[in-house]
Amino acid sequence: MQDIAGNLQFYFSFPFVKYALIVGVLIALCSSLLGVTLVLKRYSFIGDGLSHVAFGALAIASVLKLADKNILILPITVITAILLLKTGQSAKIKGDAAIAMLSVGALAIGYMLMNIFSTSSNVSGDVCSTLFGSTSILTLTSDQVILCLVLAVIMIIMFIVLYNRIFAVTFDENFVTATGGSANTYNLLIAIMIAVIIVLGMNLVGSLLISALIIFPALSAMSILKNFRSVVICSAVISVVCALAGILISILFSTPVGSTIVICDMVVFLICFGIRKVAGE
Amino acid sequence: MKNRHKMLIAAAAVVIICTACGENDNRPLTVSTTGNAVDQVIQDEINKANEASADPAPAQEPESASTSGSTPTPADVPTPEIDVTGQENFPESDVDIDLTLMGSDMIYATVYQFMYDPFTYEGKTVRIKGNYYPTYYEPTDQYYQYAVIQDATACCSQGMEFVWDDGSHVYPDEYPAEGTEVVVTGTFETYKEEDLLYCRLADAQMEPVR
Repeated sequence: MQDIAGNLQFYFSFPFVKYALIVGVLIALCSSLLGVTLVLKRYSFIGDGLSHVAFGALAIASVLKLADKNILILPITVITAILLLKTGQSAKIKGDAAIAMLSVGALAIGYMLMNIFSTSSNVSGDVCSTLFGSTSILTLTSDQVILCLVLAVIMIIMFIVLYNRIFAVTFDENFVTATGGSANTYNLLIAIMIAVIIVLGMNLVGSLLISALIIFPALSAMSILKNFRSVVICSAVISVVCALAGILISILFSTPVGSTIVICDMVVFLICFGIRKVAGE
Repeated sequence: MKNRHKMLIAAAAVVIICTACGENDNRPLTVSTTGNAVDQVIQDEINKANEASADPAPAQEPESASTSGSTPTPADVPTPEIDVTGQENFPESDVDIDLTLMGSDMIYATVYQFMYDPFTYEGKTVRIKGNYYPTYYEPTDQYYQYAVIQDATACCSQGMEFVWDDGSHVYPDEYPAEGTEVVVTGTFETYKEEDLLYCRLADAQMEPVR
């Protein structure tokens, strides 16, 4: 135990470990706040689809050799999120089919571009790092941390300010419309927020695992609590604790960061699920 | 109320887009971890070594730095007597950053920082453990020596160049076989070659891990 404490103390002397913890906590917090809404609105798979689109956008940004890849990734992911919601409302291609189509299409295009127009000597390493996060959370610069901090604060403020509207649009879009609001506008806003969170979260757990950050804490909280506000708060706490635990475990025991965080989320979900079973529900 | 929400949404969207575009590109001259020629060569060498280890066919002889005759491959040469005075020359207290005490995630991240922001670490004594790989770069007609570290997912590697002692050791006669795990302790420095910035451990002591 003393060894672990000693190692942690040693590792915390490096700024990039502090950066990883700050960004990890912020991303986990943001993703969990909207996770509850997404799960309740049956939009869980949107996160997965968008993360694959973000991967494709990253590949294009790499080919174009953009210094700041977010210039391209963020708008493409946001636009796709908007298109997915619009497509979901039209009848030509149903929502789930559109997501699946975009998801695999973007993955294929991304991988193809990274191979054909490779700018790196280690394509498999780049792909692995982008899809699974690898150790990219430990390679953040101070600029990236500030960017993440700003975006996360905006997300949290928007969630708090629009809490009542998000609550209403989650359960009853007609009620929002009847009270003078626009359900479409709030759905659009949720889609934009999710797109931003996914772009941020790619650094933490990679594009394939980001939906786990959105879904697992929400499902865990919903297993043991029923009230919307309690579920949101519990989900946020679970997500932050799992992200912290995952990052610390991974740097102490040299496991991949993204997978470790997701496994922590899974363990908590199983515990919550067990509690519900024991409670007899 | 409705207008206020619309304004909030619009303002947030503008801030999000602006912050996404706002990352400073005035970072100091950094060492590319992916794009420079020597890194490209070292990655090719690692790939070749991996293929060779998977393939039972005899490995091709590498090009030699020497201009005379054929030179036996490092693998054919019995492991030479390595100067193991590293610990004496660099007692533990004199090592500023000891990567041998870290897990593989931390090692990968630390080496990444060396490459990204080399000036911060210039002059520091660094100890690193990795697999030894040499690489020949034709334009400069030189062999470069690397200690290569794999990360936790084993898909990404970082190579740290080093100069053993004053660089007078003869390759391949005095060097260990490719892929040998070595501990290298040296002083971190940057240098320019062909207008590109590189970093390495200079005046390094190298010892194989037995």
